Amino acid sequence: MRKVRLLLLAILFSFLLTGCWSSEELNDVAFVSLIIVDKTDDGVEVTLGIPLTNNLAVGDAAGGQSGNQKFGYFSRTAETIEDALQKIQGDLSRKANFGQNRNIIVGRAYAEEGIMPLIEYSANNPYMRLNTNLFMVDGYAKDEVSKATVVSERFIVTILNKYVEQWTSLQTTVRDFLISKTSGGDAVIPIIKFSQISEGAMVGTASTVGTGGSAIFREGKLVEPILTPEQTTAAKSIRNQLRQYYFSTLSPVDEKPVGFYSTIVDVKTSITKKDNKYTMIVKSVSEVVILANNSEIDFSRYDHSRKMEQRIEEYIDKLTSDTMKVIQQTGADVFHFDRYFCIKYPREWKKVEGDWREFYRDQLEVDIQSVVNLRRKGSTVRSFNKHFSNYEKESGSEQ
Amino acid sequence: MNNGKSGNEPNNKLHKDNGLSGSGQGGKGQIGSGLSGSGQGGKGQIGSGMSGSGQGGNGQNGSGMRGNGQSGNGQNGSGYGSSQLSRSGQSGNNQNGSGDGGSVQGSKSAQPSSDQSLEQKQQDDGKQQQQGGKEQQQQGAKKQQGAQGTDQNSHHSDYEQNAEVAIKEIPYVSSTEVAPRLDWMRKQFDRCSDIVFHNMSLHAGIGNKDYEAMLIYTNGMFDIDQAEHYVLQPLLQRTFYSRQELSQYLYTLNRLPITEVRWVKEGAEARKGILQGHGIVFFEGDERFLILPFSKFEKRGIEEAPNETVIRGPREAFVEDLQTNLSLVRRRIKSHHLKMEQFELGTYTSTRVIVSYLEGVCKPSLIDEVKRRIHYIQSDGVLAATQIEEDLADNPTSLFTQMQHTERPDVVSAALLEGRIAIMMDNSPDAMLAPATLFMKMQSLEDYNQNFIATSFIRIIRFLFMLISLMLPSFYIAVTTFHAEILPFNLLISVASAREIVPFPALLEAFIMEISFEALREASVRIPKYIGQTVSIIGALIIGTAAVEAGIVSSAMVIIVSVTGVASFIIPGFDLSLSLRLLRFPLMLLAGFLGIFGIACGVILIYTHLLNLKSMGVPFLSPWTPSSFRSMEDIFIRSPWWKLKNTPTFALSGKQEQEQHSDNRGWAKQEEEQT
Repeated sequence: MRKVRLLLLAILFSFLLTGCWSSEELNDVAFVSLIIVDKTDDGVEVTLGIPLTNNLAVGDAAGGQSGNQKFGYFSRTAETIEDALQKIQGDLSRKANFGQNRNIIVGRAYAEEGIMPLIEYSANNPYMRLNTNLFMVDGYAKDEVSKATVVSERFIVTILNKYVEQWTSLQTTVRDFLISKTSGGDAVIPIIKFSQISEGAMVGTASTVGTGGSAIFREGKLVEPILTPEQTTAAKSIRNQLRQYYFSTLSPVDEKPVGFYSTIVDVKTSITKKDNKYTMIVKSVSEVVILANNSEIDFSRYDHSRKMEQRIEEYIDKLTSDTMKVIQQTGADVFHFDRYFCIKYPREWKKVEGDWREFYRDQLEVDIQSVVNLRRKGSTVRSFNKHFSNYEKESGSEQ
Repeated sequence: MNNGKSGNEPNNKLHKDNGLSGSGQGGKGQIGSGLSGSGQGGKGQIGSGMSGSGQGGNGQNGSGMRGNGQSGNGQNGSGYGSSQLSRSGQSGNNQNGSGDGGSVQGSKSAQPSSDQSLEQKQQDDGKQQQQGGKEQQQQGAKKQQGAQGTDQNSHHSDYEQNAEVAIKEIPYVSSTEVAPRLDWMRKQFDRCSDIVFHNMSLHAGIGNKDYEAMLIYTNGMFDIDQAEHYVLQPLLQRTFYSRQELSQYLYTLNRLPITEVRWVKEGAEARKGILQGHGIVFFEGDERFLILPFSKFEKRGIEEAPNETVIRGPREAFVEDLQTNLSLVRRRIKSHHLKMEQFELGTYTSTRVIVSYLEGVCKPSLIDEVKRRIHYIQSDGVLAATQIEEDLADNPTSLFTQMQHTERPDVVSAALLEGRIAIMMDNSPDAMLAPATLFMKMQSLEDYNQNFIATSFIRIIRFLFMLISLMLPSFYIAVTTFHAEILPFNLLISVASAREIVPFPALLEAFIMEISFEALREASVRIPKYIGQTVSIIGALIIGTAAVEAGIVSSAMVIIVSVTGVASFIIPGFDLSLSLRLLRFPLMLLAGFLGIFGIACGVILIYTHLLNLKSMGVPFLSPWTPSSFRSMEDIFIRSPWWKLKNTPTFALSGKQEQEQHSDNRGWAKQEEEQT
């Protein structure tokens, strides 16, 4: 009997916890999916993107019509980010919850001023994820994002998530900004481009989402130049984030274009000392598939294939080293080479660590070595066009 | 005259105890007394015996028949009305205390008119007074004085008085004459209209007086055709020239063309024989009764098992008749080592309970333990198998039953071969198997009739769904209320939009749905067959679709409740699925208050309880813990027959473990050696 009484008492006490702890009803919480930070004359402008689940309600006869908005943007301006958030919470009918937030977009103005306060907020805040992706908009972020037409996915956030998931765009997280003390605040952030579409759009305001280029940040501030999409690809490859890539080069035989599809298998970065110079060696091994062959080159011949591979290697090397030079000139150690240096040459590191960025800009060599394997030569080893079509009947000249 | 023994000495064989000397046993200090009777104390079972005897005890009837039992807690003596009279027994007035005849007026009028009542009580039957008993009763009664006695009314009707007269136990006096015995029998079966008394007279030769003989049987339970052919005919066609010849014919030489006859001397045993469906014959000149074992009564034929269906495998199921059930098991285990020990439990019901085991395979300590526990069972009536189960279980308050129920003889045979014990009962089509572990309840016999790879897959699914049936609603509640961050974004949006329309918090919504589902399930058990389908359609439509469209519950909740319901039907053992169904609700509460932490706490509590549970000394979760890899092969996957060892480890003694060898696929090895 005594045990039963104790048990009852224990159960009764548990009823005191009703409503306490951290229990929150799903529908009393607003799940912030997107944060847009920009700078205006009045201070920092923070915009929260929240999916409006009441308009998405299923089971109701009328729901999800085109008239209803599915994703809402709530925006406020204040001196600091926290003040702005407080103001936004004053607008919201539900409690803002950052647990589902995976993307932060910064506008150009804010990027130029310096995004380190934002990085600090995201990193230190226990309710926010450390692996939040960062994007930049080359312009006034809030307007561009909120007016974009989201066609291919349900929400714009899904598009951004999928860019990162599918390795379509470069992935930079908050953690990448803070991963090294010496080069902290240096990173390259992908740019989201919004292009106008001319048909089927609302008058003048609709635009679609796309990737395009990336921006270099040094100590949290945007520095010129903005990288082009090709240079962004090179940057991705150095960071081992390139998974598929379509490109074309000229064939060594007759300088006609040949189209390729490459998947980079492995990129290894290491540091050595050559001739008294510290060199970063970036080795990549790619497998390439031939898609279109507009030249006379015959891939059944080993020497032709080999020459083609060399051509591609030169192409890749050139692109990558050009990009590297551009980045190196800015003095932003976006790939955090200091970590490699620090681990392998600790004694030298002590001397250099004070002015690492200058060392990086002036004295660090970066050597790109790529190996290309031409795995599949396409459906035929010779040009379909040249060989089988009636156009220009030739019997495959050997050269 | 009273041997009042104190102490809790249980006595099973109440009905046989018609000794003249009272064997009174005191259970908890009650008066035993009773002339013949065995008054028992203890839980106040039959006080029996003629003079009732006070029993006390937990206030059960003092007596079965007559006697008045006083019960310590002031309950009525027995239902016969003796109570009224006897009641007084509680206080010092012993009148009834005893109970003989009852003419006692249960007066609480405290005068020890004991002597007076005693005299009243004297009737032809109750020859001996128990004065001594009286005193003891007084003492006993005084002990019970504190007990709240029911009020003794001093007024009682004549009807009750007569009933009181009738209830007392008449002592049987053995004689060689027919008349007194017949008279006794008639008095015993007074107002039992289905007992047939058949008078006959046997030839005694010309000039001699015919011998009287009686055949008494119960109509409806006795095979009268066989009796007529094999008993009456030979008896009535012969001439017996002397009594000895008749005695010899029947008893010594066993000349009747029937088998399985036995003869008894006691009237009470003969009476029991009649009640069991046998007939008795007695005649002049011999004091013994001959019991004819032709019992025949309507019983259900062997049908398909309603609750344990298989696709491939035998379909026989147990019926209510114990003999048929035993024969079903015997047919499968044709070994003389299969022992079936019989017990008779229940004073009114005399239910036969069979404990069967395979000697040599079953652990002797297990057998002894089971028999020891059964000896303690003393009830008025044992009708359901659950009564025995609760008395035998190690932990009767646990939500998990510690014995396995089955109604299929092949399951019982398999269990016997494993070294377990089967307990079967008269009038109950369920057999109980002990010991039972959780994993045995999760096995279905169909597993053994199918391919072992498919069966292993199905078993894994069964365990997965067992967990789902326990934890899915709680998990849903915990995740949506406390831990929304762990859901993927799209799932979260879908769930959140589904829940927009619902006015209740998640916990309440889950409770509403679960309880309506339970109500639906309970109702469907009782629905007559013909409207069953309609109601299930209505249930599905109303509870499912319309509720969602009306905005009372969300569709996600309906899905979860249906999946949980389906999952709980996957569990083969019905009692296990019932326990898990019940445990779902506290887990939901814990999830609603404490999130996943609450679920973890609840699961740990359940698991700890299961770890401590023992079924007949065997841990409930073996062989999972204490682990024994050899037996594991039969839990999550089913190893093929040629790999399974014969007996699970817990049932073996040390020596037997070493003897396990058999290799049914030895022929394959032989082929290998040859090639």
